[in-house]
Amino acid sequence: MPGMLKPAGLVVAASACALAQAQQPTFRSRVETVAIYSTVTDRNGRLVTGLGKTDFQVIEDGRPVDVTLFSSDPQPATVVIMLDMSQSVGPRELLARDSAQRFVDALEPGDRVRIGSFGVEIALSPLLTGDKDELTRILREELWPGGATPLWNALFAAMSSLDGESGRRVVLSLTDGQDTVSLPGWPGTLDDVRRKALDEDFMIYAIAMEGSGLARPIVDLADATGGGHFEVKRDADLAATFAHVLDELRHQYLFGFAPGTLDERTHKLEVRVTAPGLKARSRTSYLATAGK
Amino acid sequence: MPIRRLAIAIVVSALMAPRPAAQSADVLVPVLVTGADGLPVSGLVQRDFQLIADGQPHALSSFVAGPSPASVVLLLDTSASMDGRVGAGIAPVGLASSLDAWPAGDEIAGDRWQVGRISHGATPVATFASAPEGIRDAIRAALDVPAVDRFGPSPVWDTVDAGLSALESTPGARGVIVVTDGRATGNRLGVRDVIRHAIAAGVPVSIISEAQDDSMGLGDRRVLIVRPELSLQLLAEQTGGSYVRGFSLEDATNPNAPAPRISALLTRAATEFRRSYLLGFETTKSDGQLHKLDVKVARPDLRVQTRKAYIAGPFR
Repeated sequence: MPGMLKPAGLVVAASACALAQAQQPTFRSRVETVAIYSTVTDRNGRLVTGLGKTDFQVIEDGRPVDVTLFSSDPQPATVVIMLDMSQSVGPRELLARDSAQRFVDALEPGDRVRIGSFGVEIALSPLLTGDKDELTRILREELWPGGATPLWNALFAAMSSLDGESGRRVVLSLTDGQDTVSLPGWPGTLDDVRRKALDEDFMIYAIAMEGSGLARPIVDLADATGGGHFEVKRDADLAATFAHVLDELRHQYLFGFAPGTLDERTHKLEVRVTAPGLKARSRTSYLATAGK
Repeated sequence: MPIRRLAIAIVVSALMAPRPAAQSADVLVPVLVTGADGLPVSGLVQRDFQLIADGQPHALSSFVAGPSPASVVLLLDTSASMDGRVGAGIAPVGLASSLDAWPAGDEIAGDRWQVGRISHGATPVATFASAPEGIRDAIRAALDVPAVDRFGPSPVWDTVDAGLSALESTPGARGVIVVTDGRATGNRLGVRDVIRHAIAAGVPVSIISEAQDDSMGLGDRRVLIVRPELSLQLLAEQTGGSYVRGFSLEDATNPNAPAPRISALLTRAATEFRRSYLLGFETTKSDGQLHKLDVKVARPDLRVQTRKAYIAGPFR
C-alpha cells in the first residue's frame, strides 16, 4: 500500500534473524521497498495516463529491478507551497497569491497543504491541512512583501516541516530561483537542501514568473528529485501552471522495488517507458539506508 | 378513569407544573469613558449608564466603578518585520531602549503584569509580576530573542489568543496590550477567531502599532496598498481596546529624539484598563453566538469605548 511507505521511501521490517545477519558484511532484511513516483509525458509535454506495469522498466545502477509495487491510482498529495515574497519578485505578490489559491481550490480529499512564504522572514503555517477555508485565510491574511531571497533556508525549512510525514512529500516553490541571503540562525545551504531532498526523498517543484527565470541549481534539484520546473512565458499563465502541477501530482505512477542491499550508499535510478515517444520523469537516485 | 379524562388530566397537570426557570448568566462588560481630552473619566454612577443588548435596554445586575488594579498581558512583537524601514536588528534594541527604565514606580501601582513576545518559538507568557523590577526583568527576558526566532514567523494572533487564555480566569480589571506591526504570519488562528475569544472572555485588547502601509502587485501594473493596521484596528475596536499608531523605533534609539513614547503609551493603556467601569447584566441566551452590545452614557460630552458584542453561552 502506498500509504504505508516510510518518508525515506524504505520500509524495513527486519526479523531477529535479519538483525543478526546485519552484523555480517552483507545487508539482508525481510521487507524493503524503495518508492518511486514518476510523471509520464508525451512529445508535446502532455501528461500520459492509463499505462500499466508492463509499460515500464525500473533501472537501478544500470540493471533492471523487479517491480514489486505498482499503482496508477491518483495519490493524495502532501505539499508545502513556498511563495517568494521578496522584493525581486514584486510587484507581483498578489498574482502569486491568487495562483496559489487556484492550487488550493483544486485540492481533493486526502490532499494536505502547508503554506509558507519567504522574504524578510521565513513563515511556515503550522497547519498542514486540506481545509480550503483555512488555506484561503492564510493566503489572504499572512503574506507580506519585502526582503531578500533566503531560498535555500526556506526550502530546507519547508522540507523539515514535513519530517515525520509519510508518503509522497512535495515542496512547490514560486520563486526566481536566486538565493540572495541566508537568514541569521536558519540552517540550509544549497548542499544541505540537495542532500536532504535526495536522501530523504522529497520532490521539489519550482515555478518562475515571467521574465525572472530559474537559476541552474534549483532546476537541477527539481530534475534530480523527480519534480518539475516551469518558467511561465506570461504571468497570466501562472495560475494554470499551479493547476498543472497539481494535475501532475495526481497522475503520477508509483513503483516500488526491494533494494539488493542497505549499504548506506546512493544508487542511481531510472524509470523507462517502453512505448516510443513517452518520457518518464522521476528521482534519479536513492539512499539505501535502513535508518531514519 | 376513562381514557379521555385521563388524557385531559395529564395535559392540565403538565400545564400547571412549574416550568424550569431559564438559566441566566452574568455578562461582565468593561467600559472606558473618556472626556474631550481623551483621558478616562471617573465619578460616574450606575444610573449614568444605559446598556443595550440585542437592541433592548437591559438593567444592570452589577456595577463597579474604578479605579481597580488591573491584570495586564503585554505582548511585544520582536520579529524581523518590526525592523521595518529603520534597519536590521533595530526592533529589539529600540524596544529595549524605550522600556529599559519602565515602569519606574507609581504609574502601574497595584497592577499585575505578564510579559511575552511575539516571535517564532515564543515561550509561553511568563508569570504575573507586580513590582516594577520584576516587570522590567520580564520585559528584558522577552526581548532577549534568538536571531533564528526573529527571522521566523510572527504569530500575532496565536500569541494574543494565549494572552487572552492567561487572563480568562482572572477576576477584575483586565486587558491585553500588543506592540506590533501587524504583519501576522504562521498562525493557527485568524484575527476573527481572536476577536471572538476576546469578546467571550470580556477582555479588551489594546494595540500600540508600528504598522506601515505597503503595496502588493497584481503583475499588470495594478498595485494594492496593504494596510496591516486594518486588522489591528478591528481587533481593538471590537474588543473595546484602544488603537494607537505611531510610536517610533527610530526615536527610541536616537539619543537626541524626544523621550521615548512607547513607555507613555503603555502607561496610558494600563490606566485605561484600571479606570474602566465594569457593568454586569443577565442574559438567558446560551446559543454560543455573537450578540450586539452597546453602552451609552447620559452625558453627550463623554465618549464610551467598549466591546461591540457579547457571546451568549459557551465559547468554542
